[in-house]
Amino acid sequence: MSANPDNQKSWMGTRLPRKEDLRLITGQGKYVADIVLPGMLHAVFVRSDYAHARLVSVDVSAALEAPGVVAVITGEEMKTQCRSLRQPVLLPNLPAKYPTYYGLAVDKVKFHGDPVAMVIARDKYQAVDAAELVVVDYEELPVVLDPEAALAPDSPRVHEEEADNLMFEMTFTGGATDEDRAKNAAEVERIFQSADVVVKERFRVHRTGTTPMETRGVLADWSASDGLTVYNTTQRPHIDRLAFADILDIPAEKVRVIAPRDMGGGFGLKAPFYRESVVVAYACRKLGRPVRWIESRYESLMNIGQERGQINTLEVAASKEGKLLALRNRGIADVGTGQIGVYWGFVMPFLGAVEMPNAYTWEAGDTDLRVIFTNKACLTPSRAFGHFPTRFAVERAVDIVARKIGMEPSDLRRRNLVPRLPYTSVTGEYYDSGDFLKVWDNLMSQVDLPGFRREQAEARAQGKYLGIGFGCGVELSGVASELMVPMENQPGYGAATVRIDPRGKVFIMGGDAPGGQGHETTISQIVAATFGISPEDTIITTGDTGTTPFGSGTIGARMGSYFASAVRKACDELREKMTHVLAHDLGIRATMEEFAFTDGEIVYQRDPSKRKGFREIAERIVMFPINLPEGEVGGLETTAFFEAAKPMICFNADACVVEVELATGQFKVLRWLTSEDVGNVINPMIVDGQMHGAIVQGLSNAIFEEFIYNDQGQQMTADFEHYKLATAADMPDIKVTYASTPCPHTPLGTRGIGEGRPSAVPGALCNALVDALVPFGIEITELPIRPSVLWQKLKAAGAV
Amino acid sequence: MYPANIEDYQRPASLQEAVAILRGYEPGDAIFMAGGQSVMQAMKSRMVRPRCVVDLQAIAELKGITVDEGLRIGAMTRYVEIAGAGEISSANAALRDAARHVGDRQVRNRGTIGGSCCWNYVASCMPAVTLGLGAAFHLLDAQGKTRVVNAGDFFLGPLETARTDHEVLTHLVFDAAPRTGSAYRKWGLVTDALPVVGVCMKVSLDAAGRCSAARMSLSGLPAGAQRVQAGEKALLGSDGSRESVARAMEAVVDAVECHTDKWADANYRQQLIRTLGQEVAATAFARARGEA
Repeated sequence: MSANPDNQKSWMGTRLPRKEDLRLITGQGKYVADIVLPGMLHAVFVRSDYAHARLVSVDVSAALEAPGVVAVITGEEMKTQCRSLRQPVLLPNLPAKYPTYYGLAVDKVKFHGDPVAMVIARDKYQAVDAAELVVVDYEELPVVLDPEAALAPDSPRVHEEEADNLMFEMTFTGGATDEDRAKNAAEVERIFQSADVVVKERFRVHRTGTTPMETRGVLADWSASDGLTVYNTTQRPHIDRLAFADILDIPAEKVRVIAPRDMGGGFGLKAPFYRESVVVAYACRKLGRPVRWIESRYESLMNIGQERGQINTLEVAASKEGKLLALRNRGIADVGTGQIGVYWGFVMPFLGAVEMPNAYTWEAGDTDLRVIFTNKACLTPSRAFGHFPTRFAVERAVDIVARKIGMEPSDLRRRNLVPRLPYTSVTGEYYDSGDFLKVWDNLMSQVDLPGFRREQAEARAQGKYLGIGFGCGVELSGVASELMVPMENQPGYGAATVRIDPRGKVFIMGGDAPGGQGHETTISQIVAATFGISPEDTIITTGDTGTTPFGSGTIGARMGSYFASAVRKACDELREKMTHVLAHDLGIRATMEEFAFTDGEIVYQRDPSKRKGFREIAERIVMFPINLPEGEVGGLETTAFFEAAKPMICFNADACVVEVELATGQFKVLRWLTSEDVGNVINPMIVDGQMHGAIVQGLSNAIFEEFIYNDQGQQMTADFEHYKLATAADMPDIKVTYASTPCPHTPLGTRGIGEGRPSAVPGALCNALVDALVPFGIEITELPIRPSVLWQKLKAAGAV
Repeated sequence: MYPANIEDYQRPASLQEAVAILRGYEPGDAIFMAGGQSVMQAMKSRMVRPRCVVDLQAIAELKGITVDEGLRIGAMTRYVEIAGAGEISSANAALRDAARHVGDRQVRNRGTIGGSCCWNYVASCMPAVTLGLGAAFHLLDAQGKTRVVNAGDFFLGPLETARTDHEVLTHLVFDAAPRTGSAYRKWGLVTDALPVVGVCMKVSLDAAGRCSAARMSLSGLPAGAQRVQAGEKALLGSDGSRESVARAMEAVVDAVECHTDKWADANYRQQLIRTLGQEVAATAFARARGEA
């Protein structure tokens, strides 16, 4: 734990307005599309019109003749001039069929939107004009769209070099050997045979995900002496750097990747390493000129942000007293082409399967997953990484069990919550700390369930249908190396360099790359609290591999868990040095704990007349390193790495109230209430915002958003007229409350939050809808849940 | 999202100037931009590739709402102005209903009634509402000749109207008969979205409060804005009771072909026609009675 917490003026837990907001809301942000380099060229991709077709020929001659065109790159060129994206640095340590693919399609196109060629011209208009002149001769092939049908032996194959379309399969329970797993499966079967209550449903979740305000963008610059510099909308620049080096065969020290300080949202979809980046970087090296590509919204909706897309056939066994006994799940994920670096589309459903048991004390489980190639865009990570569908299935199934035995779903949940942590789930996920019951009881104390039931009955008597629904979620607080290394072939630790300059300003360098979460503010609060200075005195640099220590990226709630902890650790190292020198200068023997960092000064607490300004002592150590204590040298800079011994979590519980109109199935979410364990909070306003955004995303995904492919595999939702996003007017009033337990494994007791948070939403929403319509006995097992669907159910049930 | 080459941009200050510009181009090569809320997207996606964009925003005579014997609305009148126009009486109040819920604030501040009608997108509100209200469309051609086309003849099908490429829509004229009320309501998946289905109704009441004349139209169906005369006929004699309206809406459902897509299947669209029909009937009858 940190020293002398009482002596720090508390910037921790303060609703400090975001430092970055003035520039962002006054148009002063600088995004990749705002960066212009001398001589910069503009790139546009020619993309496949077909979901599955052989590339007979790609004729670029007319495009090359078009005004302003400098070059046209094709798949054949990429294949011969660069390595494939199937590079070790981008491969998880999990056994899967990893397709070999290049920056552009070679031989075949495998989804609608597959990049076939890239046109480079002096301006963007010329590039778009010329792209229309690229003549691609396609020979259409039968499409693979239904993941279950794709497993048939006679199904066409997405990747012809593979024996079948089964990309990945895994059993998550029962041990490492076939024998152990068979034994476990038999044991689970015995539980099901003797259980009082068994529920089995096929839960289907559509393709949906995230659509950040800023699409992708890449600006690559080449210099014969310094090599490649890439400005990239990325959440993980350090991995990108290694990938560029390996694919383009450039020594890694000659590659610098810069994630611009301002990025308009990531939500996971800027975490993979994308093929378009390779083509842009290749072109800039080939031409010796900067090349920039800014993704259009059409391209974005056709290529990225698509997640979820699972079918989970889930069985739950329970006792008639409401004890959950066992779960058995057969998961199927529709991965698309499986062609994105780092994740390959299957890592999300993999983690979704791991996270399936949620916060309940199952006695046993038998769960597996099959991930199947189809002719669709590859799944890309999206906040609530992989477990939006599995959480939906479990939270719905728990409600179905409760109704079957005549118990309040909230009572059944409480009864089965893991009562004490740490705990290891039936799929082997480690829950480090927290108090689930405290979080749950905080939620229920604000719900007044008996009161609601009365209100509900009265409303029903008047033909008004109200319902209440619950859900909860154990979420990862950062991703520990123990999970990151197998899953993404990267470390989990957080790293931060802290440099104090002679003027007493604190510079923080981090290798992660935020996209609007407010790191500048929260990190400044940590630094201010640690050094007793103003948050204004901290300057943060992120995302530049040339100036920051290695970071695995702004992913998986790594901020409050790993990055913040590394910053604190590094600050503590410098506090130690500053107090050591100060004690020496004051001629006293004192430890760091005997000094307070407060109001811009370092004060010896036994004799407060012995004090010195923070700036003065910084200047003294950096600029005047004479008469130092023995063994000390000048300078105030250090890099610290933080990794907890075990993975960490955060936890939330939700309740929502809905009203359904029978005549149309139209419904309104009236209220959303949450109870959160986020550990110690750095900035409650920012945490509230994370929760609001997550709940909005969860609702929007569950009700409105859907990526739709027609039966030829054409992407039908490549604009916002068809890919429907919730508006503010569609959203309920959201009340976020806290019942936190400080995390014992981080120096500040903080937890990383926000990443998995949307996953509790679809279950709670649908539980409320079902609760409202209990008189008609309808069930919801598929998303999206739309008024038209609900109305059909009501009609089938004879309600209308 | 970069348009094909546009050779010229003109911003005429008068109608005369606007039609003079048209004369210099082959039909279709010069395109009018009214509010730009559809045509800009169509240009950026290269669905249309005009040589010249003629921006109508500076032409004062195309703007504004005046009430004389009837209601006259300039083609370049923006949604925001229609939404807040108190001078639009009960007979044409459906215009306000529609304008208030087109897109978002930014769209309403730029989009125009004339632009929407001339674009005639399948999922839009103004074509259905002007059709339901029986507007008269006043056109001026490049030679300075005017003609008037009734709404029923103006809308030919999705993205098609009776306006030729050498004509500009100058204004729309609406009857404002007494004891007449109209209303419009749509449903879309998200708030103020394009209509999955919208219903416009206009009723005139006799001295006994019974419907003596009716017009009804729908938005959102694949055929685009469509008038439903079977429903109008069924509404005659109605006092606005739920039962009589239900009968009329059933006639509408029987008369039109609904389609199925991911937002709503055909049965659900029919149900929306029924429920929206009840809502607009309640408002239109109340307005006709002078109660709303």
